[in-house]
Amino acid sequence: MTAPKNALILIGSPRLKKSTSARLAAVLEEHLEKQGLKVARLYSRKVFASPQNTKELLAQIDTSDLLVLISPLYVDSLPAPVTRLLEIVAENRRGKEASSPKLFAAIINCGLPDSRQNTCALNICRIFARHSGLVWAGGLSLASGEIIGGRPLSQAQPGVRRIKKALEVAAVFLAKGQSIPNRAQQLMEKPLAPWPIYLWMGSIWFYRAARRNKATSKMHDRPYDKRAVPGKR
Amino acid sequence: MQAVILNGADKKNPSAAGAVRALKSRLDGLGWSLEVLNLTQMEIAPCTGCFACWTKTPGRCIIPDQGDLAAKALVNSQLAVFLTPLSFGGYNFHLKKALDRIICVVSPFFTRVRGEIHHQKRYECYPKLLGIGLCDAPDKEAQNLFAALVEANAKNLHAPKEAAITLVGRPSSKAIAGLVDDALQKLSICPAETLL
Ligand SMILES: Cc1cc2nc3c(=O)[nH]c(=O)nc-3n(C[C@H](O)[C@H](O)[C@H](O)COP(=O)(O)O)c2cc1C
Repeated sequence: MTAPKNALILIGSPRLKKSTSARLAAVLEEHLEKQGLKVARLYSRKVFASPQNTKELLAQIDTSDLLVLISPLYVDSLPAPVTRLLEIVAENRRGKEASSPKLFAAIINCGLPDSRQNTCALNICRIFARHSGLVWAGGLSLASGEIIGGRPLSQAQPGVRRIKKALEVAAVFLAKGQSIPNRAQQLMEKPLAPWPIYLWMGSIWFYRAARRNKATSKMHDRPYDKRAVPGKR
Repeated sequence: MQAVILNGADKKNPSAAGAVRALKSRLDGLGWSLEVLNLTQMEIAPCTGCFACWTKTPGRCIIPDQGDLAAKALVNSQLAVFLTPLSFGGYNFHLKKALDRIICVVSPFFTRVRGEIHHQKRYECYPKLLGIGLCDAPDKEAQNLFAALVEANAKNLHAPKEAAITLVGRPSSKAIAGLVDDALQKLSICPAETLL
């Protein structure tokens, strides 16, 4: 592939700017710009705000040489609005495959401390690329995404330096029209914290959030259990 | 025994209709009840990723629409069927919008499931899972991915067993019934279990 001149980053998190996905996007954008690319960013959730937005997105995709999806993992695959977006893009690309070759890459982050959880989502992205006549440029898989928890990577903890490096390596290769190398994934998948500590921190985070909502006593409720005895777990 | 079909396909989709008919006939014969949720006709907003279903109204999503029907049906069934046209080997938008809203059926705390870390159970029992994917033409890669996704969901949702089949093109009623029978057998849903 020839080197792309402009890129479009699609952010798949409904948490918008406060998401881990948006923070990863900011770093990737910076590195792609350093490589001389013109970069635009879009939130998938906003795409559906109006048919006009959808039209604009499709037009923007048509004129981009590189597309990068950065999304959280929802129930082992892509969030529903991202799924819809890919369905619309694939439909729109029908017949245009040969005329405008483009690179497509994806970066998925999940909550559990195991980057293999993202495998199905990345494979969905790869098959989407095939169906849409896009050139699959590979993906990156990040586990324990809640360690970043929507904070800028500069403010997140030290291990995050590896993630920034991974994004830089990915940007350098994508800017040359090449696939993301394994080295970037190796950097991305090193655990940010030992998993038992991450799980312990995660449990405390959920407990504290429930305490703020005065809901700790309800954390084990079974509201839909037809056989439930009120007040009994 | 109760089964629910979360149907992401258009009601008029002939393969989807065939699969619903085949399941109904088999499950009727075994004395099961069957509920079909036609998701294309339901008002279900996408998940906003707020985790309020774990930390504010535990076990329930705070969005006031029909999203809770899928979660409710799931935890009160012994079999859940995910019926969907394949979107790049995964679920389509309509099924996915319902599934994103059902994380309230598990707890925010963690445990090990089949050697992997996942969230703890909220309920005592969860249904077995049957994925039925629909695609126009054979696509081994997409079909294999669909099976892998159903397996991953089974771990996430504590399903005691799972199976996945894909209906390619417009299979005959007989062919659909055969595939559904094989899948139910794999799930040990057969007369013997019903008698237990
Ligand atoms: C509806 C929903 C489903 C999720 N499913 C999974 C999952 O299957 N596996 C996982 O590891 N994390 C899962 N997560 C956690 C998110 O992937 C994780 O919180 C991620 O870091 C969020 O990224 P974001 O800030 O970019 O949205 C889920 C979160 C939500 C809200």
